Amino acid sequence: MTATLTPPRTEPAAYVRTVSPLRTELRRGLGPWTGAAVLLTVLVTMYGKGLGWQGRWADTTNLLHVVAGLLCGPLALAAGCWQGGRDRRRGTTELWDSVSRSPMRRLLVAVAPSALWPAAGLLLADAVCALATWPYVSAGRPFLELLAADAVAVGALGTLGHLVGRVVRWRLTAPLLGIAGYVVLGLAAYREGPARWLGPAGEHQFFWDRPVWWYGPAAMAWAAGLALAALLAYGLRTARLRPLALVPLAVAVGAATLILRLPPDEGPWRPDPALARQVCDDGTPQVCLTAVDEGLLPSVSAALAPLSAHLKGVPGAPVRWVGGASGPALPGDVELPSARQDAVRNRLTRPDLYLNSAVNWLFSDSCRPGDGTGPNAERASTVQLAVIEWLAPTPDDYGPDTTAARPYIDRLQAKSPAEQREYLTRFLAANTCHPDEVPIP
Amino acid sequence: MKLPPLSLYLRSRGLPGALAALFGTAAAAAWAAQWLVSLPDFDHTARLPVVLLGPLLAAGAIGTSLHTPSDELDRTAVRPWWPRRLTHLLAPTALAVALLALAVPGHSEAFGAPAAVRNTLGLVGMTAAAATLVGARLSWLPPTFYLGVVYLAAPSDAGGGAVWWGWATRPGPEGEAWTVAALCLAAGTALYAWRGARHVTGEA
Repeated sequence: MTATLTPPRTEPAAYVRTVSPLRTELRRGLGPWTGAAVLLTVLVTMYGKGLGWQGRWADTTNLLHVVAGLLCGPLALAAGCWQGGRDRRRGTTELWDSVSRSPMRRLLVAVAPSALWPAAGLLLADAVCALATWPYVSAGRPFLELLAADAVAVGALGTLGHLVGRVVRWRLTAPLLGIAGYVVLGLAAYREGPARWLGPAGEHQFFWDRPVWWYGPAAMAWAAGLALAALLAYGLRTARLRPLALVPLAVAVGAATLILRLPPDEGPWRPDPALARQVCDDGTPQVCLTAVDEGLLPSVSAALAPLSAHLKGVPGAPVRWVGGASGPALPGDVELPSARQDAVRNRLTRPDLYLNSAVNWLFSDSCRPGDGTGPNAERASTVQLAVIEWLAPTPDDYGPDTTAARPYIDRLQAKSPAEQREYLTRFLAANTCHPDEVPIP
Repeated sequence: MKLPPLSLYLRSRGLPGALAALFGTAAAAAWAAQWLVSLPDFDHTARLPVVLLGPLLAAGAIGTSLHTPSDELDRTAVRPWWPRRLTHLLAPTALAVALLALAVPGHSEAFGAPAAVRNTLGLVGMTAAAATLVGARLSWLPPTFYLGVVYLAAPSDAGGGAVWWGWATRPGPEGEAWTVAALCLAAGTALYAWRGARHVTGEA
């Protein structure tokens, strides 16, 4: 009897779900932690800056830009460098060389977490800060192209860090690269001249400006081109296609040339008349702020209300209080101190202090050398202090000692409204630079 | 050639490289401090980045030298490890403290030698603790992250408890900042002497 040898029946192969290497790389290791660190760094720093930025898009985007360039950039460099040294630390370099995928494809997959996670963390933090700013802005738009350029720059720095980590074998490379990156980016940000607009942390503090339309895309092309050129030069180092790296390099150089031809001082920023437009309330005197600060108008008007009541109908009193870009333009205009830096979410944090500094600005004449001297100089300055104290008392924790001015303050308060008005008329007509002109209450 | 055990130990931990890094850090810090002060519109208070980054780099050099290539073998030793770990951590720290104190001379009331010494001690403590928790190779990361955040977030005055949580950014003589730095050093040193650097599997 012969036994028939039948091959064992094979079960149909179970469906094995293959996970793409890119997904595995993105989910494992340092990548997600880097993204979380970038997110946390931006949010903690923005919160620590005191929330005064909620109110103007220019403030928010400028601060986010500096934080991204100065803090997230070095962080991405160091984290990328650490990630780049992973295969060498694990001793799996040769194993990787034996797989069938091309070195370039493997490199792109390995670099992905170093580039994408910091950029994603930054974009999420940008979104949170933009949402926190949105309800309080009065005019303008967020400079989204600059925020996108920041994310690209951080991703590019992560890529460059990754490549350094692959090439240099030294335990201290990552922290050293982070610190060196911080120093270089910081120096580039504070440099004068067009080169500062190439760095990812160049600061711009004018709230009535907007960048030229092509600056964001050019900055993106510069950062991404540089990183891509390095990536291709490294990934194709054994292939004949290596000169391909010159293409992104050419793009980067072209973008850099455009940026370097910007004017050295204002760089890509141009005044935006729509943001600097004056917006006034209908009080007497009128309070006028720029369109970006329109939301502050009720709070500023309310803070100035006690002063307006005193000044109403007094000859020589201001016709308009003017704050912001344009400054006093018409006769009767008086400049207001900046309200935005003392405000959180469109409310003045210290209205009493704001009122006091507004009165100080009202009575400050621009004196010439030799003015403000003579036998009556001290009395004149005491009288001026008394008038300021009477109109807007200095908060207890601020300002000069008012003991010497107390008798004058008492006399001013004891006057009838008509006498007070008459005295104010004389005081406003006098030039405080000439002590003899200052009337005694 | 037979080398004495101490030389073998130093070499296995990469300490010559770490010591060279300490000297390099101190030289760079001294140069940077002098350069910053020489800039127009800057005075001695501009040395804050030097008293932050110099100690950070020194702490990183010391922290990464805590890596042991033969962790499991080490743990089978008969002699207790804590005296060696303590010496390994504190001797380079003393050197770093001396070098960085010399790098920022004068103005001890602001960001001079006392601030540099305090930051070195505190950050070394933080790095040693990090070596115990996340491994020596990555021990520089937590202090770097901490400094990065407090550098921009800490206010210039002492409001909001900044003298405690932003201790590294405070001027030299403040007692509260010294207390936090001393606590960091004590806790980090004790933790490292007790547990040693964490062995991270799969990383040679």
